[in-house]
Amino acid sequence: MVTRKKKRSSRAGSRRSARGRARRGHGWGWLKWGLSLTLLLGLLLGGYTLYLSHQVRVKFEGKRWAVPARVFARPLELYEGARVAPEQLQAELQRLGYREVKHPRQPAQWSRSGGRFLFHTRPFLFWDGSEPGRLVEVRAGRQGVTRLRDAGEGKPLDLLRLEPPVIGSIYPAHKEDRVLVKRSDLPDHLVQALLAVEDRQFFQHHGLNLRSIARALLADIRAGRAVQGGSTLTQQLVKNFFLTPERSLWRKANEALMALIVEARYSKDEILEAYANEVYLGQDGERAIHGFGLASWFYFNRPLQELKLHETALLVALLKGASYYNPRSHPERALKRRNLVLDLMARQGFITPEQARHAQRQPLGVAKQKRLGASRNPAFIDLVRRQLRRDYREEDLTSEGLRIFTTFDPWVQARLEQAISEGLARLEKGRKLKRGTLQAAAVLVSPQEGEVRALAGGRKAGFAGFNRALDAVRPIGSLIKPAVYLLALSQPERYTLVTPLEDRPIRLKDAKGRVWQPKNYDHKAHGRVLLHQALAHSYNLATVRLGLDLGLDRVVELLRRMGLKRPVRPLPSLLLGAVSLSPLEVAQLYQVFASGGFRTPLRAIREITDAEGRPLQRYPLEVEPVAGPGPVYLLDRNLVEVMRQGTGKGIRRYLPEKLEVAGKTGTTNELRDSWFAGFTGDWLGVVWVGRDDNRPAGFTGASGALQLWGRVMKKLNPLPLALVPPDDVVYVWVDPDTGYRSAEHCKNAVAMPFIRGSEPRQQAECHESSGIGGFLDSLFR
Amino acid sequence: MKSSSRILILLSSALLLAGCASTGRIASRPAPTPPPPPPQPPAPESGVEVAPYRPPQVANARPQPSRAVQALLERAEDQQRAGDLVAAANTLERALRIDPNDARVWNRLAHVRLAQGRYRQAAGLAAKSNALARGDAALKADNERIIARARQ
Repeated sequence: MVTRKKKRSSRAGSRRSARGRARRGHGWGWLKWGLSLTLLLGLLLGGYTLYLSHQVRVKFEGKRWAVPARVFARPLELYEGARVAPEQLQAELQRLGYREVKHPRQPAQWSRSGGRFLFHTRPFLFWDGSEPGRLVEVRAGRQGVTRLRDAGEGKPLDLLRLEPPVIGSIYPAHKEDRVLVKRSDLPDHLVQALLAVEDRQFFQHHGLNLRSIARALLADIRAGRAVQGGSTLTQQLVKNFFLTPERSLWRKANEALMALIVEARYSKDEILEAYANEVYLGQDGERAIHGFGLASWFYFNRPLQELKLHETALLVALLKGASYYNPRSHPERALKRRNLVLDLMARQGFITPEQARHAQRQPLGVAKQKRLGASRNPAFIDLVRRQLRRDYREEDLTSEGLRIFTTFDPWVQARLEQAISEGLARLEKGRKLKRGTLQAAAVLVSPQEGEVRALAGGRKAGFAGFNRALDAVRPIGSLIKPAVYLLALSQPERYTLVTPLEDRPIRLKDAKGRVWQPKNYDHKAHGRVLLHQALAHSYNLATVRLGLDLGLDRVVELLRRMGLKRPVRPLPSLLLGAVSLSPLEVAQLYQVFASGGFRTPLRAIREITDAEGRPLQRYPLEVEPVAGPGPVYLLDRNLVEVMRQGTGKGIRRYLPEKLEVAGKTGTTNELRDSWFAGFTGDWLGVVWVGRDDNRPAGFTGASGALQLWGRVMKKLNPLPLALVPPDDVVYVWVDPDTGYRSAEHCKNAVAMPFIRGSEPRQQAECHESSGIGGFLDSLFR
Repeated sequence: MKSSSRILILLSSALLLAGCASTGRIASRPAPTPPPPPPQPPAPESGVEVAPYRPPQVANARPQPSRAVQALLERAEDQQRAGDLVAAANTLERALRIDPNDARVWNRLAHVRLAQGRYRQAAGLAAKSNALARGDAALKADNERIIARARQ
């Protein structure tokens, strides 16, 4: 909060005593009466004035405005080698409200020719210090940034962090949102426009302008009703600050008295600053836009200081009626009013007639999208809020002006939303379903750092409703299986990728004697299968037998270590995914697979600072080893196989054959839920497709969720999975049918990874010492 | 000379093909396909030029943004020397976002956590660094030292 200097003044007091003066009477009795009455009135008035004065002080010097917390996206990092394509860089500059110009000279201007960008950044106060504004040259191609230079100093630049875009704010229940500005932030032409239009005598009067009141009164009398306001800026401020919108004489008197008090106590600059932060300037859904600071972002997507004359004139024009002159819904009215403001400015000599004419020729220049509202990214903001609520009180979030730096990536989010809406439309069309039948939710995470970069709570991204990514808690089906297989592979003395499993029917009875008889998806039993095949093809019977051998309690224990928080009952049906989780919770589990066995609690927030930029809280990156790198490597190879030969091979519609990815499909009873969770070298994504009414949607994991996942990944141009075999892993040739030890020259032999010491001993018919091909062997071994 | 160049061609194609190898069945081939490269580089044979071993996936993996990461590593070093461990951790996390596969950065972050007395985190980060360290024996040894110190 800005602290106000108290200006002790005797003016209010002297005014009070002036009112206490008595009139001459007709006699002693009358005089006495008159005197005491006047004294009483004077006392009352004096007391009342003191009371109002106190109110004014509380409002002015206490916490005057609830300043909502601002939520920022991640800052875009630029460096040579950064995978930022030209269109992404351009989108980011536009998102930040930078202006495209021929020759960037001032902050927030950019130019582009082909892949060469020249731009001047705004300085920005990060949690770890400030990043200065500078002129930068960037060359980028399809593969990303190839050159980064400080064009001002003519030197190469190692690294540049752009300011993070604002993605929302956390405003209080009364829905007032604002960005505080200081008096020094107010551009001269804004102040001039205010004076010209609202209060010419502002710097001369003491709160009231008697002449303009008289003029207004006259106009009112002539018209027979209230048509003209004679309010000064001070009166308007008081009206907004303290009073209800009712129009009465009592209120008018109150307003006048308070205006005088305000003027007596505070300087013109303080009043102007308060006014600039208080006024109502627009509406964004349920959110009320207050103050010029936020209005500037709301209408032009840039800070107040960067506005041009015609833009500030528009903001001042809105004072007369923000909805009537709303430039987005009534551009003609707004333009007319804006030009009137410019005329008034010229008439009073603030600008020249030429300047006015030039400004009047400009279009309104209002940014197309409303970018600031929480409404743009409701699902992610919701996640941020929930993380915050653990550490902050609601009123601190909505009033302290906190700055919240998140992991959100708007570019990726846009790709995700696009993929979901296209993908669902395609799925519905393919099945001749009514449009809008299906719902989806998705989470995109950076696997090593565990940062949530994008989140879709439903098919309509801008719609703040049921946040399925966090709250659609559904059975996860076969998505659970990798945990069972990881547990097996963590016991190399018992299990390897080629251990034979029995995929035979099984009947289980629970304590109450109820029978559970799981089936495979194709209703067949496949007999003896190798462990890796059972996972690749998602065989239920083999998995149940494996899980029972391992022990249900041990499976639950592993899930706990991987980050499962919900209570689960160790029942056999758990092995086939009879546990209900949200997409975000699934992402937490798969993060372990995607990062080599290290659990990193997923985060949406990196840092929080107070309004002045002082760090308040960090949410550091934490890692905990929860599974051996060797077993996780084997599992991940197996999940790569899922995508090559198993249930996930449909991915090749979207991604090139050589791009390695890993993942797992999940389908629940009667095709109610379609799941897919998978990862590349740089992304972990979880997608759910289903129906809100929980009726069968008709899609398997592969025919539903995988299709959406593929679409997203295609748009993200992901890095291939680059699994590094840990030291304890060796590759051995095996016969694919038996899993026996084979040799590279043998027909169909495949190279399989094993934890050292667990390689198969039994030799296939064709093996090392049989046949011929020792030549390459000798080279490699 | 001719035969050695043929070996070279064979070798490089072997390395290329190995990149495509997976745990699953590879479609039946007319000729034997070489195995994926072993983790250690093959010993160079006399008279035969052998291409240095590179794990096949690395060729198309994340580009090495070495300068940016290097700059951040140096900054973190300065910050740690100045006793500002929080800032150093911040800087290292920033470097990890740029290249999460750089074992050195995980190692440095482990050191910072160790200095902060956050032993559990230090050990976890060092283990993570180990998992990415590939053939860097010195780095691995350092990580082991961190883990040992963290457990004391």
